Amino acid sequence: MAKTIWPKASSARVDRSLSAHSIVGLAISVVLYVICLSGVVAVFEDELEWWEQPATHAVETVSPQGAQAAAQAVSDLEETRSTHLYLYLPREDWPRFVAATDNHNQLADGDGRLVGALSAPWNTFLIDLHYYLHLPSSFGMILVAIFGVMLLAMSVSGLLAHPRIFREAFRLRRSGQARLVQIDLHNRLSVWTAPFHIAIALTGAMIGLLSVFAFVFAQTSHDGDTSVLVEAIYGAEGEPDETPAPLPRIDQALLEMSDRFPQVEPFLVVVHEPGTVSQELEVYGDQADRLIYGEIYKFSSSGEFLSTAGISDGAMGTQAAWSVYRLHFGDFAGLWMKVIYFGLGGALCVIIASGLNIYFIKRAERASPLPQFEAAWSACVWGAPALLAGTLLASQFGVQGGWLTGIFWIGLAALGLVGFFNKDAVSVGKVLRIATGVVLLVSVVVQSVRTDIAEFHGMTLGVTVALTLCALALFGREARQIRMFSGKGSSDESEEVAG
Amino acid sequence: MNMTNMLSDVAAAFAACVGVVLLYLAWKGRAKPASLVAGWGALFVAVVIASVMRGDRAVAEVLALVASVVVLFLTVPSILGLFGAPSPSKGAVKRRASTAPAPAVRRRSVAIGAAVWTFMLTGPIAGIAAIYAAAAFYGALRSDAPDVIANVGVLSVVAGLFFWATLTTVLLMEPRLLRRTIYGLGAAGAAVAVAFI
Repeated sequence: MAKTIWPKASSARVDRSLSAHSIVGLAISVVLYVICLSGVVAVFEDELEWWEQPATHAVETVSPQGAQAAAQAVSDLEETRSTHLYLYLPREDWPRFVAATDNHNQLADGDGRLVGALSAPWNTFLIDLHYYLHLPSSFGMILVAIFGVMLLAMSVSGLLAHPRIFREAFRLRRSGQARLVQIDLHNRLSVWTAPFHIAIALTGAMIGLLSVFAFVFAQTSHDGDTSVLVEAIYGAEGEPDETPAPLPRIDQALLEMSDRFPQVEPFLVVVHEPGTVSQELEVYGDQADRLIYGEIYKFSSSGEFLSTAGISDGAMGTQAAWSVYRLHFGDFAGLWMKVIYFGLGGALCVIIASGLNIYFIKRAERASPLPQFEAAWSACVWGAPALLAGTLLASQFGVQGGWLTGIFWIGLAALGLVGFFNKDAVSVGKVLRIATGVVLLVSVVVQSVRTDIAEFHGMTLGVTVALTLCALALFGREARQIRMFSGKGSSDESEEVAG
Repeated sequence: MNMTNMLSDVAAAFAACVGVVLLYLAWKGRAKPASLVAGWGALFVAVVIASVMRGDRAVAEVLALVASVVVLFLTVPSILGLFGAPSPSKGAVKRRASTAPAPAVRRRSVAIGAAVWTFMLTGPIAGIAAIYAAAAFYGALRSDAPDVIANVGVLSVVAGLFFWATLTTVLLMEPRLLRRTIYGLGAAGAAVAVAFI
């Protein structure tokens, strides 16, 4: 092992850091695990959304006239005037065309004809779980962001409690004393994924808490005007004038985009206050080498280019703020980056699970075990994915909205209670893993039976294969464990570690 | 993507993987500073190539690639255990029968109260301290120019979040509740006062 270059840390400081780390972990692990797990699954929200509604033909390109037609068609659906109109244009890794207003999300074809409502209730359930914990959105987003800050605190305390960070950089004991196995797993994954989970925690906290900071900054520096900071970062919207006007010339704007900026791929059209004199037309263009969400190209109502918003070459603070979304959601390098984010997010879930496992093992070694809580934790770790699978299956039979929310949270509480009274963390985990595999397979079979083979797009096929492999992996693990332990009784003094 | 970008991506990815391998060899080889320096150097080169050729997006890709390579390297043996390869034993837990007496009810109530107060200190009160400290930082550095407002604003938010995380950790590192209370309330009070100056 290389000699450490880390300054020698006092054992008192290390002990206190570890204590702080443990306290925060104990307080927040259950909810943090649910947030992280839902985030891991939500990396593939686009693909899962399509899988939920597979009878959607791919749209590779949309003509400017098609975009205009779709905008008009979705706007005509609104009974009252919408505050915004969105056109989500097809991209290489997302061949769909969606037109949306305040109250409608519609799929459209390449000619701009609306072909049906975008309906993905389980995807909505998943996103609301991760963003808001199914709480009222403003409060929920702030609460989730605070958990992001606590995850940052875990990173700080964890690093302070790890003086031999370089000396142990690659050590991973896979057999022997259970506590050491879990500690090595926890520490190695934590250290090597630190840039990832610090970035995720920080960007998540920024997304949820920026409005709170802006409010306080307004009170202390801008006489209560909350718009100063927000407009400096995100730009200002004009003064509204509700006098009716035809929709802006989106087709003309897209034609001018391809003439003036042929190297830029537009992916989103936004109209603020559509159908009014004060409407503003913006086209978002992908900036291939940047983490910023995109550059905004502003057009007049007649489709004439006005200016860019200056995101790509503006103030560093603006560029940083506009980079938060892609960095948090891994939406910057196609499918392979999503797979990496899925893996690293899964590692974060393992870190959280192993952290509490270490606590329970230490308690057992100190002759003050908590088998009830250990089993309840195992129920949470394996119950949450089982319930995500269960809600997916339920949504395929028409269950949606609050019912999915109830199934998940009441189910999680119930499983926790079952684990608490069962007191056997290993068997609770085993049963829930098998249940997850079964439910996933049933879900795949149901979807496959209902879907016309001709409608199987590569994306839906990919999700089907991925879900099947997950189910088989869970079965394979349990089948192997059963073969390994068949005929062996458990000792009074030693047990397998759950999870 | 053009050929130049593709080649730079491959070069950055290769340098990153080489860097990880060299660091592993340095760790395994015991006191081989050349491998250690070369490993970090290769990672640095990967980041530089990515940054120069394809901007901040490529830097994020390289860092994510490095993390995923190491995570796979560490966890693949365990994953392979799912499919019949030798599965690592999770290890046994030696459990001793509990002989500790149950704590008295009054002591337990005090402990619960202390825990609740600690939660308040390290959560909401630390948050107030951090947000108002950020506001004080923002107020001290900002000007009326929108660019400066944006830069200082975002910097203040990021600093505030890290300060909140660090303050939570520092408060929890303090073992005595009275001192913890003084630090927490003191930080919040000072931050609010300075923010409104």
